[in-house]
Amino acid sequence: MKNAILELKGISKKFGPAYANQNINVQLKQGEFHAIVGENGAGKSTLIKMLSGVHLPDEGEIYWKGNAVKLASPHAAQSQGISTLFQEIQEIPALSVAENIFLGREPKSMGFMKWSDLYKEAEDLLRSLNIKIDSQAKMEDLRISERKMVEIARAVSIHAELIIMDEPSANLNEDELKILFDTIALLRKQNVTIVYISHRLREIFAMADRVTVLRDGKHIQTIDIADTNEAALVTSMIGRQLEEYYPAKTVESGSVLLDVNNLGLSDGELRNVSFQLRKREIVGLAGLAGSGQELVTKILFGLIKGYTGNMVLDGRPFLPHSPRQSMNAGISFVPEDRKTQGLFLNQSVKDNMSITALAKNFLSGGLISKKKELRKAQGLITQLSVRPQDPYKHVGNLSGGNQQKALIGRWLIDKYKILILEEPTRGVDVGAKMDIYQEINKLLEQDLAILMVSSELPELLGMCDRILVFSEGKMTAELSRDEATEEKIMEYAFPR
Amino acid sequence: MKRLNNQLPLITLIILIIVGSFLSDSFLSVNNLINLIQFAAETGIIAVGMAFVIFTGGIDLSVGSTVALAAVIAASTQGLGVGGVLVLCVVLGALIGFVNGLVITKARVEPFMATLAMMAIVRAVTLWITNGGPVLKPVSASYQALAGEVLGVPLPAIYLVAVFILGFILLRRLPFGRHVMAVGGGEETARLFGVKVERVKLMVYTLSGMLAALAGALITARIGMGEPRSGFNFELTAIAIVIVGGTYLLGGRGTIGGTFIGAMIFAVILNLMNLMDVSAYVQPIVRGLIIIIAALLISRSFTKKKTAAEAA
Amino acid sequence: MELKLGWRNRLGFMIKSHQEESLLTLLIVIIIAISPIFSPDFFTEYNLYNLLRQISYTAIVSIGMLLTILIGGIDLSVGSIMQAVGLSSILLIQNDMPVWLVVIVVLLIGMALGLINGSLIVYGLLQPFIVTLGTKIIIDGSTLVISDGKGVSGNAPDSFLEIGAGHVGSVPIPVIIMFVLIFLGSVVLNRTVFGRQIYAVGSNQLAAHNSGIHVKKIQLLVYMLSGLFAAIAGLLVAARTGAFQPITVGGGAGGMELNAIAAVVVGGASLAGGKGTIGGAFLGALLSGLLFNLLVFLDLNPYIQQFVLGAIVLAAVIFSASKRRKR
Repeated sequence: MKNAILELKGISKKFGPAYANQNINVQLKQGEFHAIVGENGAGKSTLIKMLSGVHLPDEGEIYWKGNAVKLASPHAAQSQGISTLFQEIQEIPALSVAENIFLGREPKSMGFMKWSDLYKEAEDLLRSLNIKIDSQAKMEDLRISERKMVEIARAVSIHAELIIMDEPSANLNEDELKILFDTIALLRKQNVTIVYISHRLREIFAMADRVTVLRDGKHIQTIDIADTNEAALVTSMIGRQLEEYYPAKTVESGSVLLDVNNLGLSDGELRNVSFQLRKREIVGLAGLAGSGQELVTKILFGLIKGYTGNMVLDGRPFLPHSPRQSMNAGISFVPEDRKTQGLFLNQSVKDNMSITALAKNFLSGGLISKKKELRKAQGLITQLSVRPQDPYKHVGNLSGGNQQKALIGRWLIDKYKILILEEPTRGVDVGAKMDIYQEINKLLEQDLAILMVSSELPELLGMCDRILVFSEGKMTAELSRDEATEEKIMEYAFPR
Repeated sequence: MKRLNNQLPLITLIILIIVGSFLSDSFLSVNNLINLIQFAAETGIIAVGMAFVIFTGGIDLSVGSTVALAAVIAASTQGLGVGGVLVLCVVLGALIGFVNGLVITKARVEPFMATLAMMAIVRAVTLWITNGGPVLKPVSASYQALAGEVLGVPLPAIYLVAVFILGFILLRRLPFGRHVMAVGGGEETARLFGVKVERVKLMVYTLSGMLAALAGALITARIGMGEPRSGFNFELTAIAIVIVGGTYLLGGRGTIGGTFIGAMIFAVILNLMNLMDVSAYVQPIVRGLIIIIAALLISRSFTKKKTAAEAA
Repeated sequence: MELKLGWRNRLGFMIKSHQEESLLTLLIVIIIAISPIFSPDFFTEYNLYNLLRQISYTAIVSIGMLLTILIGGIDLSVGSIMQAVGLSSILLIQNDMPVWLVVIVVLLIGMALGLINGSLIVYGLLQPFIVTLGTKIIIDGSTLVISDGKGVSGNAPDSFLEIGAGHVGSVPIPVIIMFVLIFLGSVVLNRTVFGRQIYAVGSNQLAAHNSGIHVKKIQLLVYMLSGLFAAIAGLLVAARTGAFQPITVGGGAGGMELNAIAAVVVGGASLAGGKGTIGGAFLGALLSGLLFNLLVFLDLNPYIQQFVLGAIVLAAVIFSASKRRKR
């Protein structure tokens, strides 16, 4: 292909033993709009991080305009002409739009800033892109969409020939989307190549020339958009039967344990959510990121105050406003990001497990019995097959899967009624996944009920009795195990 | 409301001046005002350096000790002539600041900790070489003239204004200033945009050390001897001036103009306390209270802003 | 899998899990072993007890400093709290308050000052170093105002002096108090829920909150305890002579806060929080105490001590930061 601006040849990236990307071969044509799709964990973000200079590939070569390049830092990638719009906006909030656009490249004469040129060039640039933003406004006073536009303007101003956009449409409303799409259309007129990552297939079908599908870190296909349709693309993204490794459920669900009625948040991010959770039942919460499902679990664990509606837990009214209160009522919580929200990385496995259970389980004469504590930790390590089997090992030195097991172990010492699992197997290798699924199933036998938030649909389909689908802060569907399919969940998950 | 917040330092200064004119008849006299600015000179000069450090999100607790070392060195090296002494002091200060910067950027030690240790080391060296007492070598008349007057205007006041103008040019008229603000506002983003973050940090600590040394050299000119106890707690006054001037302690927000107003607020308060015969021992209490109250006000207003932006 | 370890294994395990402490112990043993080279007077019972008494104040303050550093904070006001408490105790004694009541009142003063620090940090959302720097000069100023910058001495009863200058056998009472506090502190840190929660808060505040820990309460208590330990040290210093001596401005007093930070950081604690032990802090205090003591024997300029202290702090924080980066 002659007009390839960028080519990936045999690109692989490993984190620990697991491949995040394996043998990716993609060519980007000059001036095309190239979409990348795949489920969460398919390897999209790793791939764009290698394109943008955040990670270096372990194997393979990146060719930029025919030459092999090493993109050692985002700045290095930028100076080649590759600019990335990450999900998190790259900005200095307290500086003006113009200062942000030209940071590091300020117009000057004889070493002195030329403020008038700075603002004028910024205004010209914004006008050429039809973006109506005051170049002297501070970034922090702008709306998200406007801040994204400024980022795009910056990419244009450094003469980026390839702009990578990671979920640029997330959090934008209809009007803001239109501005984004218009800007993209303008960029295309200027022959800028665009790599576009999005969950929203509608957008992709409206704009893309070609689409690359990733699954499980592998390159499945790259295909002209004209040669495919939404259904075919989804099949290609999912591409598998429910794996064998979901254990069969052996216990029957019991009576209603938790009754949630009209749960909502005053800012409208969550509206009228009602559902029930039974004893010995697994209920999954599905939806695109930020659709409200994780707000439900955070309210249940007392992390969000100021909600409306009412809840009844085990026959008693339940209105938590702190984690302590939720824990006392019988709710346990494995958060989405175990490293920042759950674990004490520089403490031992034992200390990480016992921290919530010290007062009730290990005190004798007011002091912690280290013997009891150690025995319990060793028991949990065996039960959950945590490797290595060393209770004194710092949790930060464990692999992702073993960290997750240690975190789950924390909630198995005291007796709880509900276990909330957010992304229970994110960044966990297959072997540890199976262990975790087995253990989740065993917990049901102890009368526990489980609420599971996951962006991995197969996991929800394989584990849950029922799946609640969220979209834009509302519950759009409640699917039983039998009726739920990935396609159906996707259908209800996309905003309409 | 936002506007009002931005103008809070200026409003405070105006109120203080009005209150001052009621409290003391001599407050608004030309003499007293000149005296006031002269009084503000030494800490004001240091505050400019401190402001740059704080703009990057750092802090420099070693400036007070650097003042003392420079004061002592200035007194003991009078043989070099006025220019020689000044150059020596400023180079020495730059070196101390540069080492601070190295420890902070290369070893990644927290700025407050690195400069706290440096504060102890430099103070100890100062006392060590003077054996705890003042340097009694005579300070030349031409050197003392540095703290004199021209046409009735005290030179230190002119230095103060000059340093602030230079600071303003550095912050607003050179790209360096934008980079300083970018480092404080978002280090990673600044790096992504090609700002040489480590170099910017090295430069602000070096600047801070230089200005502290300059202030020390001026003290020796003013009092006519090298006093190893000078500069004590100056770091606190400088920090207080910067915060009172509306600068955010976590970096990325603030102005040199505000810092100037902060210096004036402090000068007025100290001046009023002197005019009203408040005990010298009470003055540090007032300084401490001002630091905490100002930090509380600014932290509150910016925290609200941040959460409001996130919610949007 | 029951852990059954022989003493040899246990010792190996102890050393492995307490690397900094083991290294420090070794260093201290070496210094003591070679000390007779510098001075024959070093290895005398008198000097060793004297040394222990000298470090007892630093060691006691270090316990509180360690707690604040464990939760990722710092307390720069400890030296000032010591001074304020010293002055208060002498003034109260002069006013014929019974000794036991004086002790209680001044310890409460220390805790109250710590509570002020803690509240400003927790509820004011301010950085610990700036708050405690601010309260430091406020407390210093108040001490100067009350004492008018002069020393205060007066008829302290023997029972008061006994606290600071007395002995049990030949062991000075401050040394005994130091060891008792080290023991109690270690038990609290290692064997109580509160202690574990301190490590948890310092290791990851968000995770601590998500584990049902009352993070703000822990922070407040820690700053109160830091005030308390500083108050105990201040009381012991004042009760040694029965007089209050203001620290003159810049008179070479490097400040108790630096001594304590040095002890804690040399003892292996991380300024990022969540790591450090009281045993380590004690060894850190002992090491710098030993060095100072030897410097005295070497008859060097006393200000060199201050220089050495600053250099120790700088070296220790650079070392500790470099270890953090490797991980």
